[in-house]
Amino acid sequence: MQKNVFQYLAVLAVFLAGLAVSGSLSRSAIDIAIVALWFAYLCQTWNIVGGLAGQFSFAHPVYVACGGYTSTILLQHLQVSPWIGMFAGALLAMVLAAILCWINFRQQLPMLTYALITLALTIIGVITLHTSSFLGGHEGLFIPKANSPLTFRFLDRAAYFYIILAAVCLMLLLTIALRASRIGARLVAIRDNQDAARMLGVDVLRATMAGSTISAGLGALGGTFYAQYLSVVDPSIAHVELAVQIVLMTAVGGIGTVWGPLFGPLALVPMERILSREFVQLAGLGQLFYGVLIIVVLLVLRDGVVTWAAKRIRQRRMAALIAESRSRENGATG
Amino acid sequence: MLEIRGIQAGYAGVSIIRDVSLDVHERQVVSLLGANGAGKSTLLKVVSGLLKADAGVVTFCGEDITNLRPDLIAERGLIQVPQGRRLFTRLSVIDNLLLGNSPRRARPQRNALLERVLTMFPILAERRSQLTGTLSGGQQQMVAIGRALMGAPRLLVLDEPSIGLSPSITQEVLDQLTTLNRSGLTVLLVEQNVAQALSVSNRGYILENGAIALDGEADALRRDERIRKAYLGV
Repeated sequence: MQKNVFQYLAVLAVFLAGLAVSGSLSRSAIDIAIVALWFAYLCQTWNIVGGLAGQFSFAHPVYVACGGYTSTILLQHLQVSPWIGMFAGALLAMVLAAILCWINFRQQLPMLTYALITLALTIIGVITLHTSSFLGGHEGLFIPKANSPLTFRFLDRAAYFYIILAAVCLMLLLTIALRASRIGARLVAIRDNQDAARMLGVDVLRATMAGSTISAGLGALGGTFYAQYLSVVDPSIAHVELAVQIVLMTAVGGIGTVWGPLFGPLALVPMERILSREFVQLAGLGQLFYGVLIIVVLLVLRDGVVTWAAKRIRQRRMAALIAESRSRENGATG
Repeated sequence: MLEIRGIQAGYAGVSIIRDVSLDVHERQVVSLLGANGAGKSTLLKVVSGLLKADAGVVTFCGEDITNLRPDLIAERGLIQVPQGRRLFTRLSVIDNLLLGNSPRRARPQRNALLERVLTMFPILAERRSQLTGTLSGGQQQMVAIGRALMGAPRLLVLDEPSIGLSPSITQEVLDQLTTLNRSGLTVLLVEQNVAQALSVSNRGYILENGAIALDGEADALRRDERIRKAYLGV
């Protein structure tokens, strides 16, 4: 429990640090920061089922699109503020997630099927967005720029920064609380050994259903945010590439940890931007370098940076304890 | 309490066990014995709902539970300590125990059950916040048994609890089973270790090549010439 208090304080520190640096960021830096935090938020929501329960979902782009498109359509056709519309998007994403979950976990299907079913949904989603004229086809839907806080629109980019910073911090709190909760323990048990969990009476369908609907709904809220921030929502928001990026960034940070989904994007998004800017003459070289770097990190650290660091700290502490007890013994005998 | 009638099961159309019948009566300790590959684990998978039976019926407390979902079987009070313990190694001792309290039927008794388990295995109280992956084999077996007890079992099934344990620790585990049985728990013990298992059982079944070869009172089995030759090495 003491550990949790420490973690909550760390979240507060992240929030305050974010506020402190916000004033000194240049215009391009604040855009990179917003995108990095947005990725962190998506990784955090993905981590609930992908990390804790180890069930890799590739449907997150669809959930994000549910949020972005639903709130925008409601705004355009019914003048509903995205602050409200985003919850309609979340609801839609939750229904989709519930259906996928039911298909997968009703039967005792092997782990990989969940990844494949969710990937299929994303592919269907992208095609639907491209071809539906109601959803604006390739062009997508535009949101006129305005300074109207009530309809989630700001001319000052810093506002978006504060919102996504707060969202990321809330997700940190949620992840900490979830890991300490009954449902969180069940999700981890499913990841460790699904059959053993079943035999103890854990209802795997119920637990994953709860986890994945929460994960999808929160992901959809991120979609509305991104649409408002860009003033446009188009099919690129639901691209398969996004699903891969989410898994990759979380893996670099540390899948299933509290801090990994934050660390991965905060390190990788700015790095990718800087590399592609530095290597602008040789298109693709930056991307190549970025890809190699990720491979190296995952080969060397396996479970991600955060997991690796936590292990090192634990080992040091253990070594210190052993050294201490040895010196005490020596003192007693000598 | 548990009646298994004519069970046939296997993988990919190949039958591993054929026409297996077995009875566990209330308050008994029954052991299911046999060598590696005899089909013991396959039978247990059918009983716990992890594997569909191709034929036959499993009845528990008068209710047909054949091919029921594993969590619903656990909900009815038939709880297994799986082979190799299958602990949640990323979770602490206490979290593992609390996960055992998943059946709705057992939840109201959570604190009483936890107190009983921690009194039974005081070392677990000491190590409550340690990750189970870092415990010794004997302690891990205690967590596995304690976790199953947290589900308030009416029938406790143990799949080869002696694997990976020294004979003396195995004896300790079996002694705990005897104590639990005296306080009213029914036990189905699956073992390769015939001598030690029979010493704590009322009845025994010998499974050979997927079929019951022999069954009877534990004392009678221990005196049986064939068993002495094949399993006890006398």
